[in-house]
Amino acid sequence: MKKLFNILIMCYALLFFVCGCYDDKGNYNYMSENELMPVGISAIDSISVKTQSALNITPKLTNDDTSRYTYLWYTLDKSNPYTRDTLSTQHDLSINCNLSVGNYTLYYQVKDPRKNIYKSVNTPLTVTATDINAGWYVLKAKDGFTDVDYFSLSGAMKANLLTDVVKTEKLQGTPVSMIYIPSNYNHAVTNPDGTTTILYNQSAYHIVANKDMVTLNANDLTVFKRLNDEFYETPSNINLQGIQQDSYNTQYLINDGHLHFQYGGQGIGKFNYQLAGGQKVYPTLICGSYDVYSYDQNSHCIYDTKFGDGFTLCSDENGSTTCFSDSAFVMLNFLPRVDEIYSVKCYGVLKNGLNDKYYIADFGISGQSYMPTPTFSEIPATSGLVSSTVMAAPRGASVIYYATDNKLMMYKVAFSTDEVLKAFDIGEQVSFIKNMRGTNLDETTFNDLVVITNSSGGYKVYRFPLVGSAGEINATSSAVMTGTGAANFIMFRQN
Amino acid sequence: MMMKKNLYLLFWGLVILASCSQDDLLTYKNDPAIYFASKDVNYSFFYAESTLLKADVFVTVHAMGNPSSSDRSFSLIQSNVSDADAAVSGIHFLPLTSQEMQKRMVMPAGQSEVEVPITLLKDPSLDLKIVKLTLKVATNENFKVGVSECDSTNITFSSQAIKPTNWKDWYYAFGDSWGSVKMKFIIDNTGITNFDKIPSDALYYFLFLNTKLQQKLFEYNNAHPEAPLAEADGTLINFDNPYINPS
Repeated sequence: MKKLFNILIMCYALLFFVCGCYDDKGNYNYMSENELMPVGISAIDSISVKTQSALNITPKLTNDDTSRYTYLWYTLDKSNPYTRDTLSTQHDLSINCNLSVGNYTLYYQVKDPRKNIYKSVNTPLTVTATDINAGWYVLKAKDGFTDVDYFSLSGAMKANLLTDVVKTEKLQGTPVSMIYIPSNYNHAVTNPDGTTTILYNQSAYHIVANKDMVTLNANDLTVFKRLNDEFYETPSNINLQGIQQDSYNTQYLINDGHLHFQYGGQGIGKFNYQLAGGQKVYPTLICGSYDVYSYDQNSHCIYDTKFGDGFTLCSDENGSTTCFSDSAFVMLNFLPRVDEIYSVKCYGVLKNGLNDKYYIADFGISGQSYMPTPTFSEIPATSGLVSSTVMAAPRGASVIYYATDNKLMMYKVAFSTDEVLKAFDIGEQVSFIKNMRGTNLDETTFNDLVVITNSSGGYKVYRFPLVGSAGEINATSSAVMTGTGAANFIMFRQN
Repeated sequence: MMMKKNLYLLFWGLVILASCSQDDLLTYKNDPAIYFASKDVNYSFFYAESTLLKADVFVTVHAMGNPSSSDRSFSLIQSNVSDADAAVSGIHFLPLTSQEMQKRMVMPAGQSEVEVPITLLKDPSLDLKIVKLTLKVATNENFKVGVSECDSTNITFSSQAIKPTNWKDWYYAFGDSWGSVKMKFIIDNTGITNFDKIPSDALYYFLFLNTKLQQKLFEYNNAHPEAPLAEADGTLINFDNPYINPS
């Protein structure tokens, strides 16, 4: 019996040896992807469209061959990813958009039916109930309240959105800031039977005045929340100073020097209690892709405050922390310059309390709270920068833009010199400066210095294109947006 | 041989005939019984208003068998009378034999479950000790004892702080450590006195509670740098809640 078993094992093993000698005639001549399917599809920018209006997209293809390929446009519903809706089988998309209001992913697929292979690209598609979407949002004070004027990419204006379009209660106080949350905003709705439904993955606006705030559904401009619903526990002292979001749509609200946050896409869209600690947070945060940094006006130190994990002191490779107060410095302005994936760059405009001299601190912070010792340069006492309250730094040049009365100035950090970039009409006071980038309606990109001025006649918004890499601007353009009231903030929504 | 063959035929014939007989239907024989359908209860007057002299906690009694068209009384007794930590009837809780309690021990007509309030009395002795009332279902004219594993339930109570039985469910709000000073700090700063029910949207509400308590603790310790908040044995209070896998 054992002998028979051994013979069977040997036969089985022999089969493997025999198979090893088999001459494999398989085809292993691999082809590159482009050889197999040479067509190339350029990325499509995210799209926002009003429901029941025209949706036209002309894709940019290379090595296209309409006799060889078939084309397909379809959407997946973001709230229900398995719901697929075919929009068109044409080369270009040209339809009347009858999708329901909501957030989708739009796919464009080019297929070679003979080989049964395809290439595709996708982009976020937002279908709104309103034509107030992509464009410019100007925050202004009027009649003692805050309101928003909207300018579409084509320049069409809708004034006083909160009063005349949303028709919600007036926003108390002076304008502070606003942000657009393209997705990942949650909101809880109480049903008539007392149960709660959470609306996930919504698009929203937070509009903030110093005494009040409102959150709107960006798809239909209905009110999600007013001030008393914004927090799990509304702070006793409302002194709203700023709002920002990071790349995860986590939103950071600064009230009276305290930092409140809410996670993007999680919870019910309410701000948490103030982050624990004795910090008095500067109203501007610096949001890198992975980390969010704040400046504490009490300790004069920089902290990593990502995701509300707490205040983590930034330090150099030796664990040494730069607190500006160690050198008797007081930060007057904390200016973000570059927000990159791993690192951010900042300028600080400082005053030395010992000798009353002014300095610029040039420093960067990268992931894991790494902050090398800043470099300092003295600002000449004659420079208007030291007394200016409105200033900004561009992303690509070592300069600081600032305002003195009706003049737009540029301070060159490397040379410690000032330059007048633009003198506005007498009576025009500069209230806002920011380097903003985006894409115009004609699909040209812009990299502008956006400036708001106020006068007795209302506000004006200027867009001055940056020229070259030294911070110079083309200051010849006239105001591109005007309105009534006193404006001090503008937000650009691309899609 | 023929005889043997006939016996086989007879045997198989009987088997076939037996398989044709009609079984009686298995029908439910109504035999009413009761058991406890609620978990043990921890209660402390520590969490209540200081003026409160008595409090009701609830035990759920479930009845087996068909509901009745009339009210049916049932019987609960204290089964731990001889234990050292036993609650004393009339001193620590309303006597189960009292008229008021007897009125509560009734399964209403048409129902098979009832919540029975057990009235706990805030005797001064509870400032110094924790007592236990073990309730047991007892047979009476209407009900037998139902599920033997569920025939008794414990109510532990005191005027001292008692660790809630579901403390781990509040981990992301309060952290892992527990103590009476920490408990009072939580109550004073959140207003929560009932820890039995976990709110909906729990995780992010818990993170709010945790952030608030961290800030309040920071403020307290800042105001008392020489005496940061600590338990009686000197253990410093914290609300640390590093992420753990809930499973």
